[in-house]
Amino acid sequence: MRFFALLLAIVLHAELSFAQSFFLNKGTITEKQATIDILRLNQSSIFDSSNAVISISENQANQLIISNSFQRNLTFQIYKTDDLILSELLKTGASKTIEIPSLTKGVYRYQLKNGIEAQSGVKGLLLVGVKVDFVWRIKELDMDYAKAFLDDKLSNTDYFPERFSINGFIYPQTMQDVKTKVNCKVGDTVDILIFNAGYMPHSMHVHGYHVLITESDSNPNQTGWSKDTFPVQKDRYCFIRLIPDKPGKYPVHDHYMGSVTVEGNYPGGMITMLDVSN
Amino acid sequence: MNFYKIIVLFAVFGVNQVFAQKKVFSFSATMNTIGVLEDANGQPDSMLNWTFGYFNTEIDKQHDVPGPLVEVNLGDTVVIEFYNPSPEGHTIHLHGLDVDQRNDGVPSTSFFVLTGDTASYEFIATKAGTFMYHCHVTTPLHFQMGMYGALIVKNGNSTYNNYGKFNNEHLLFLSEFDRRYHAMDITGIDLRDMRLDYILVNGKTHGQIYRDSNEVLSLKPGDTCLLRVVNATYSINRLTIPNEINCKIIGSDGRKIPADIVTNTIDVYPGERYGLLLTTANVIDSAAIEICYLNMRTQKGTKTEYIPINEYAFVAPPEKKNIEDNDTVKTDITSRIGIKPLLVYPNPTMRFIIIEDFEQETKFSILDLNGKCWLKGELGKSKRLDLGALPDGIYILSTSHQNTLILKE
Repeated sequence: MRFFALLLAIVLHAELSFAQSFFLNKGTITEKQATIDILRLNQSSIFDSSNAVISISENQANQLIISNSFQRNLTFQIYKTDDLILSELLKTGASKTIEIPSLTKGVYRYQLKNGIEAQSGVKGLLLVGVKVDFVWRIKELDMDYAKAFLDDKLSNTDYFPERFSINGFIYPQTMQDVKTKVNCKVGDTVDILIFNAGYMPHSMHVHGYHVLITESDSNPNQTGWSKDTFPVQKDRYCFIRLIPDKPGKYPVHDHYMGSVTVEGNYPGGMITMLDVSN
Repeated sequence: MNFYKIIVLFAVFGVNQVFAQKKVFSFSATMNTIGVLEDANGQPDSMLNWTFGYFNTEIDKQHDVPGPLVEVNLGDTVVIEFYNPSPEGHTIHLHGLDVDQRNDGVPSTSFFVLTGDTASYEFIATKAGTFMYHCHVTTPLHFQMGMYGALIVKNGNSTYNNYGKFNNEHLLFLSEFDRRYHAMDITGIDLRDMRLDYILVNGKTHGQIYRDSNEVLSLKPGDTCLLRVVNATYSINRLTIPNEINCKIIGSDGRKIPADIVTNTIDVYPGERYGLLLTTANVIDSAAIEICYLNMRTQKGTKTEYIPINEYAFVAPPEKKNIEDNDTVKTDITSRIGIKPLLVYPNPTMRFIIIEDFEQETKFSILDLNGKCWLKGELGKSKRLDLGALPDGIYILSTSHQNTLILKE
């Protein structure tokens, strides 16, 4: 009997640790009448301007299969804050199966190797056993950096991003995405994970409410604080909790004013909304 | 109302709620305020600002940057009546006050206050602390132009609800100007592109801070000073408190934090506010709080300003500049002929003057208008001269520098 129970556990475990497939896709975006190719990690072979969120189970091995259609070899890495968990070479034109070791519950990030490759903007969340109501991946794009990546060199210009986004959307696109605009009711408990996948910090401001910072590797000493404005550092995340007590529409945006523009005009960029109903 | 009812009211609502009042502020907006800042060479620099100010009062003309301080008590019902005679629409966003949608001041979700319109914003001050207000129309531009101010909800001598007691307080409302925006024509300007030409501390720069006794932070042994910090900038504001001062963060964004943090370096990000309690065991003179602005894109320091502690007419160290910073080159007469102008303050003075910005050892003399010499000597990099023995009157400070005579009153 004990033998069969053990066998069943092994079979169940094997079934749960399935492989997930991802694709490094090249696509085109336009900014200031200029177009540029960018690279993103997507869940299908069709280009999407936002990097995928990878979710895996905690405390068990997982597999990722990543197809690299870009013209150069690239290095895929997983970090927990500043600690490198793994680094794998993705050969051009090939798929690579990556064995992810058993990880404890938490927020990790994937990215291409720091330096030239990181300029690609391929950087995203690896959630291990994390369940949350909303995820906001905040990010900016400097076209000079993106071009430098394509040219296989480091940018020699000051960082001056043109495009500021949440989950790949720039306002008012953010208002159309049900995973970016928060629709909730008075009395709900809404947990939001904010991850900064860009190169610079952002100072997020919530209208109408203070939120509780429940966890942060961005500014750990702010964990437990009730804030209406809080920084999220580059490569870092924080969880915020909102318990709305009044209905209404309340914007959330970066209070660094350059981020709430698009093509130099306001409003645009890193703005979304809390839409609280009775 | 009998004695027992008063006791019950105190117990249920607290002292502040019982004495809560309705406070009404009448504001207007202008888009033609001329402000004068002082540049790093001590020269006046005029620029066009857009401002909030009181409307229809004797101090109507005192529109300035920042706008008027709104100071209320915990529990007060606050009404801000807003008349907009300016050529463009504006709003008042009550930053951090958790007001309802109608009073939030975002034009797309609340309402616009168009030219000639009057509107009012109303809320109950339910939390003590430091907040701000600002226009939320084309926010990067209207914010840059100066349409903001501090809003403080007081709770007697406690910072928050019966916590953080202090006996004096000091406000640092930090903002910044990019001179290009304050020119008469901003056609075609890219709103992402905000350059730091001036650090503003309560609307003042450089010598305007050091010479103004209101900007001196007072801290003596036995004092507890509440330092309220508001970041109304496009930069990270890094405050460095001198080591002889005990500094602890007790709150932020109008809320007490769970546990005080003892630190002498505080980074304040755009839109954040901090409450710091300062104490000292020793007498402090000739010290200053350093405020460095870090560029958000590069996280590098760009410019630095100083807040004098206890000493009127503080002598600030030379301004730190980052060579990558985009400074506007001024082409005034002195820069064209290669002479660095004198920085002399306070002026007028009752007792002493401080002279700065010499390239080398320089002789000086102080003459009256009849040519009589009252004082002479040699200046170093910076010099403090005691004029207490001189009769009241007008004098000429004369220095010789590369055979060029420089005169200042």
